Amino acid sequence: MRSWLLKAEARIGVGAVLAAAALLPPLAGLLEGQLVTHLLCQYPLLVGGGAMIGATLALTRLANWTAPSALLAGTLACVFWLVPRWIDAALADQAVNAAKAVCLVILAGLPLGWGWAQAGPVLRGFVWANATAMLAVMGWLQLATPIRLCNSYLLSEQRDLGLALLTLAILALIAGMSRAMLGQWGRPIQ
Amino acid sequence: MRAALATVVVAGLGAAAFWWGTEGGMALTSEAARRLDIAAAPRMLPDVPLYDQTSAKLQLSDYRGAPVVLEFIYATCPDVCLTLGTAFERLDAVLPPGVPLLSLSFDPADGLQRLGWFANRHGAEAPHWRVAGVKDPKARAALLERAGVVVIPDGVGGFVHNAGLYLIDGKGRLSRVFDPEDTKGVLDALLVIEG
Repeated sequence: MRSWLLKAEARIGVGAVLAAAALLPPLAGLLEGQLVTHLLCQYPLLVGGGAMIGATLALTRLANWTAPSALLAGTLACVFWLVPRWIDAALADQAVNAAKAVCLVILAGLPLGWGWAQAGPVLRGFVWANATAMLAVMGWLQLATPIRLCNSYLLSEQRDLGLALLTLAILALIAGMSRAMLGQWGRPIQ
Repeated sequence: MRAALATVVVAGLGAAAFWWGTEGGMALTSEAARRLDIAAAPRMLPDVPLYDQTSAKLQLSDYRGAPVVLEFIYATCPDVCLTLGTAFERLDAVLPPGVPLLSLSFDPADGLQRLGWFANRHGAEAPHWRVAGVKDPKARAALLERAGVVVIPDGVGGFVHNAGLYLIDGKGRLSRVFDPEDTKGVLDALLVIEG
């Protein structure tokens, strides 16, 4: 019991450190300097940090019924900060940037980690499949849009993001397929 | 059941947040948000000192009393400013004489010579069509900030900016923003102002 507690504390600590690292001046500036690193390094650090905390908290209490709403809340909070208007706003205004960080850790990361830990295999598969499809659609949109969506970034950076998202979609697809076919995919033993 | 209820509540809150965050789905980009905001609440632009291609000195406020069509350019721009310049050529041909054109450079390196290049390339003749710069960096930054113009380096020595055609009303307020090629939009809006 004692060792489990330490482990949980350590995980919460690591989550907080990840999120804080993405916000501290040297790294934050570097990550926000490029569209790809802003969305695919800083965002995942913030959301992932929150998710580690959320998943650890979920060990303390079994509440399966909260899984779908928590996963939906986390997803919507992520999508909100992917709207080009708010990406630009976060770069233009420190207060908005602070709101973004708090939102991605607490409203996106925490519920995603909590919800994933509470979710059963059907819900997890549903979320994974949808995330894969959305990554592909977002990547394709970035590549197909001839105009700049963010005033703060170049068109070439938008293309880089599109390619990176498509790569992620393929990786997510491979991971999902592997899990479905190589894991315990057979009929449960009664 | 409570899982479904909680999910519906979250979906409702999420929809409300998106409605708020995108002006009811109208402003997914900051550019769209800027244009909506300016059309709804015209912005007073700061009165900055300018110099034009003929080295004449003037104030932005000298234009007050009649509408002006404004664009932000830099003289060595290879792409979007050419579109802007061409749009101004089209406007120059059809605008009533009482509506002046103003091409404002945001590049500190644009001295008289470079403003002259741009003016010559597009046939801009002062005072009806001025190609002007702002010498004072603070005044230039304040003007861009107020107009919502974001200029970033393009990585190969030039700039990229959110280009547009700007309509300033007779009171010196930035009142509309149009796409760089939308001269018809500018003309229609001027008819409304003058109408």
